[in-house]
Amino acid sequence: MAEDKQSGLVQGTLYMLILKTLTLEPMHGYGIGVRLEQISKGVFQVNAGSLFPALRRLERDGLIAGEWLVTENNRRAKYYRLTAQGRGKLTRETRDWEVQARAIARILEVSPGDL
Amino acid sequence: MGMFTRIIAGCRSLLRRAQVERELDAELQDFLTTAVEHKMRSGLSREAAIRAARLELGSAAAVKDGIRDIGWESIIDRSWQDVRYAIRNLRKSPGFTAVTILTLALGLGASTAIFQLADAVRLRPLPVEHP
Repeated sequence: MAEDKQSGLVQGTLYMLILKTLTLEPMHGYGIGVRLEQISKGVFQVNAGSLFPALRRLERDGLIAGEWLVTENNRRAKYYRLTAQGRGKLTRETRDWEVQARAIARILEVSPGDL
Repeated sequence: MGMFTRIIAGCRSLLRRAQVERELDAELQDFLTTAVEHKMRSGLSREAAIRAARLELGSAAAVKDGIRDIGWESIIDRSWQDVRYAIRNLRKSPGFTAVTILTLALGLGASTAIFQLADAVRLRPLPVEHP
């Protein structure tokens, strides 16, 4: 996660990915970063400089809610969970994303004889 | 999301700046601690883990700056910083400040005086037909 590999992330999709990650379970900042890296098999490495501003923005917009909880090793950590609003937003964004991804795929797969 | 939510959030972070700042510090500290633990579990030595975690976080000040920049209240924050900076600098050079204020005062005063004269003499017609 040391390097910023954000260039591999389409602009604006980090928010959607964070929201999706939080549907699994409430997590703290570091956990979200690790989870994104794991699930994407190392393709997306989100550094703190992008992750925390994104979390702050989502929290301000009421899409996620932060809560200070005690972790398993007796420390206080800020856990984020998805709000109802965030769930709705994720559904909409996922739908939009699928439409766009399919359209892009169709364009990329087109060959001279197709039209 | 509602403009309302944003306004509320902005006001809150303006009013409870110290607490927001403390929470941010705690959160970044926790990020670092968790990262070190995570890396040590995956077999790094303590020193190597700390180093790797620091690298991962980058400059904490830069991260905090990036977070602070979010939301409208950062504009107010920044303007206030500018005002304070200006006042500090002006106090450092009282001679310059005095000359500046004097120049502005005299310039404005002189212009107004001349305008009043011109206004009275040329612009307002005398209340008689053939002066």
